[in-house]
Amino acid sequence: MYETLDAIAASPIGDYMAANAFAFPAVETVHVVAITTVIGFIAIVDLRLLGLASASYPISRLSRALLPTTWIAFALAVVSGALLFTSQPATYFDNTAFRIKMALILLAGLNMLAFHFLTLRNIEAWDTGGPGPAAARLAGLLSLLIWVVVVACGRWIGFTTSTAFCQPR
Amino acid sequence: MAELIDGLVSWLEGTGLHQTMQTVEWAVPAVQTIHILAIAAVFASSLALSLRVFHLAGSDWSAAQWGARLNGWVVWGLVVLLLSGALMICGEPGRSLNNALFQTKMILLVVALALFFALARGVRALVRPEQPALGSVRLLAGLLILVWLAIIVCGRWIAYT
Repeated sequence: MYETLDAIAASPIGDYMAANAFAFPAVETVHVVAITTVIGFIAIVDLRLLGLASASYPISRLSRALLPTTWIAFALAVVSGALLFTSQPATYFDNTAFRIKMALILLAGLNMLAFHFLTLRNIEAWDTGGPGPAAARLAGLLSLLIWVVVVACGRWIGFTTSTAFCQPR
Repeated sequence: MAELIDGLVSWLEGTGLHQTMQTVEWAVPAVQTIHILAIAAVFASSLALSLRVFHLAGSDWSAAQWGARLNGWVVWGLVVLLLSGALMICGEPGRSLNNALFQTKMILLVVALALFFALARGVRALVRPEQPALGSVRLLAGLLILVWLAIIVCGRWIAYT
């Protein structure tokens, strides 16, 4: 595993992300824009699932309205996040906050899949207005909680891996 | 102005809040987490409203309905941003207040506030879902997103200068 990680660090991209003083903050800025868009848009849908906001907007139509932007922003977050990772792969891999963050993103994905394939199956019955069934509300609540902790983990990664990315190797 | 900032910096450095932000290990990342979540509320709400103004998303609701749904999140998000930002300034007053990017960010924030309230006003008249937005309202929506992006750029770069 560490051989792979070292190979990533030694690759032209990894080297550039670690050595260029401009690259890391620039990519980090893109990452912030991407994750705030993802989390903000997902929260609008989550709050709808919970029946706390935009209750007159049918859930299926609201998620259809916001999903394209959310996916574009998520793709941008993954690409920028991967670039940040190449600056010091082994350090991130060993970092507890990083591991928790990755596990939580996976969990958010599973929560979304379960919601999509189990709860949405009979959406016609409740896609009218007001709060959804208990399963939909649970999915919304879980999603909100997971993404808040993902942000916290992301910030903790920055704090626990220090500013070593500017140092020459 | 420089004297005023220096005075403010030395006053802040004597406060208990400064001590707390400096010594409690989790204080800075915790406040930063809140700051980022508030950016999510403000930026994503502005983006969703702007996309609606350009007829790119959410056409089931009128722009006015979207405004009513999202404006509060922008306003309260900004309140949280100001409070969490103030805490970060207490932590490192010299580094932040004297930073040219921080000063630029504050000027841009005033511009963003003006754009947002003008946009919120313009959107209020768009009560029918199919009603196209005036060119001026579209301009406000586009500019608001650009200014938020510039603010985020400044914010991230403050940490590196």
